[in-house]
Amino acid sequence: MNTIQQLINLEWLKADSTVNRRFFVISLAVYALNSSIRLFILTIDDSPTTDTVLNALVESHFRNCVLLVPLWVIFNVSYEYEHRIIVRHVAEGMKPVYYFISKFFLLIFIGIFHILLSILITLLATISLKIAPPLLLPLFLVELHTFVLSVVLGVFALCISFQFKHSREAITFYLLYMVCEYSLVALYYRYSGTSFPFPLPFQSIRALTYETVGANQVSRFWQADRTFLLALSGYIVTFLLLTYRRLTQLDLLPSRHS
Amino acid sequence: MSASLIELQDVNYATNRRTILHNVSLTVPTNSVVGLLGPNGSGKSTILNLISGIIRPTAGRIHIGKASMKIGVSFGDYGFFPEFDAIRNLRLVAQTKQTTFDPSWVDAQLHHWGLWESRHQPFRQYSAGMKQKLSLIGAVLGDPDLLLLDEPINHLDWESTQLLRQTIEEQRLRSSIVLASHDILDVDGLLDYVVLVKKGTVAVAQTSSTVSQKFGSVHKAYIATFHRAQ
Repeated sequence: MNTIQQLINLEWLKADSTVNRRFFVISLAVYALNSSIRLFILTIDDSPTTDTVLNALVESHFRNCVLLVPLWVIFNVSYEYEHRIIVRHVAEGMKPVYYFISKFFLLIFIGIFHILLSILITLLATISLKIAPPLLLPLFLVELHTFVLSVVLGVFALCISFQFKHSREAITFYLLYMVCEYSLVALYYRYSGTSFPFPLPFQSIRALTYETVGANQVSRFWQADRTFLLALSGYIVTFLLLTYRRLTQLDLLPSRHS
Repeated sequence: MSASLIELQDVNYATNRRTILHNVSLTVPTNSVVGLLGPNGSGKSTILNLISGIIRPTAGRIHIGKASMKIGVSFGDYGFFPEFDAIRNLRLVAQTKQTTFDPSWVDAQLHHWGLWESRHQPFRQYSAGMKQKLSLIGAVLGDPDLLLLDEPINHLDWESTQLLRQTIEEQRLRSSIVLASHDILDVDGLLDYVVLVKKGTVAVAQTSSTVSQKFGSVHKAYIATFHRAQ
């Protein structure tokens, strides 16, 4: 089998999707619950508009992505039997990078699925609330932008969690990541002079969401990216601190023997 | 002693919490069966993991005597997707080893090991013994240069144990085999070289005949190493 075939190994993708069946169900439930709550809040509002519906749904989508992508990674990579599967294949000569890439493709598929779901929910919401539906292209761009950010996050999480052997360590890592993200974003707003009237635990998500919602304003996009990069730097620090031991001991990366 | 395929020189392996292997040196000659024997937790599986390249030694060297070496491993039920049946799992193993998936060879093996009837059953529904058998088929698939077997006789019935012995006898003609076992009676008579692993160190590493001459039998050497001292 040549390298290209290994890079896009359909068998691994199929195998992954069987492992991910449970995650898909959880993901759908979280998604539906989150969006339903947002829409319910909107129906209480006297005058829901296209903008408020859009904002609410994009926010819920962003929250879903931020929460679900790292959870997906933890579910997949540190899952006990998945680790047991990969160990044998690595021992028999599979390069871990192929495994990463298979996972990455799966992540993209999940992302596309979420984007389509989000657009569908938005359209259904606008129909049920009898308001003008938003233009599809800006909506798609907003969703795509949100998702690209979370994919970057996911890829980092993927690389990191692969080094974890037990779910306890992965969850510790995830919690540390969240703390880092919230702290750094909060610091950013503290020193950039921007104030947000939200309680701290939701600050980063809401901040990023509202930045992202300004889809037709390039500068706001950039601002959101900068915020995200700050959060990402927290991620990297966590990565360095937590995985040094794993990188040196459970060395699944190239150069297998001395 | 014939040319060595693998050589471990003063290998140490430690985690932050404890030292698992200390100054382990051993040689795996070509076309021979090396038995890593010792009680649970003595470090046998860690040696297999080091040889396979899953983990790296914290000190010492591992020399590989062949530029491109094909490895087959059997680490219990490791390596199989629970939702896939035997054939799909073996196809994945063949892909990993970058070898041709030969359906007629696979069918023959499934018949040989008594898994033919359950070939379409998901792996998760297999009994422990059936999982072990599929793992052994996966290990020998693609004619590897080196076979690493961790407790290969675990969960096997008497008949399957005889099949395994037969497989090892056939395979030693073209591969080197390293097997780890905590039960000397299971593997007695199969081994060319005996390595007794005690608390992360190699207590004895000699040919089976030398060990037998010195202690009376491999079994007696095992008893003398692990029970008398304790």
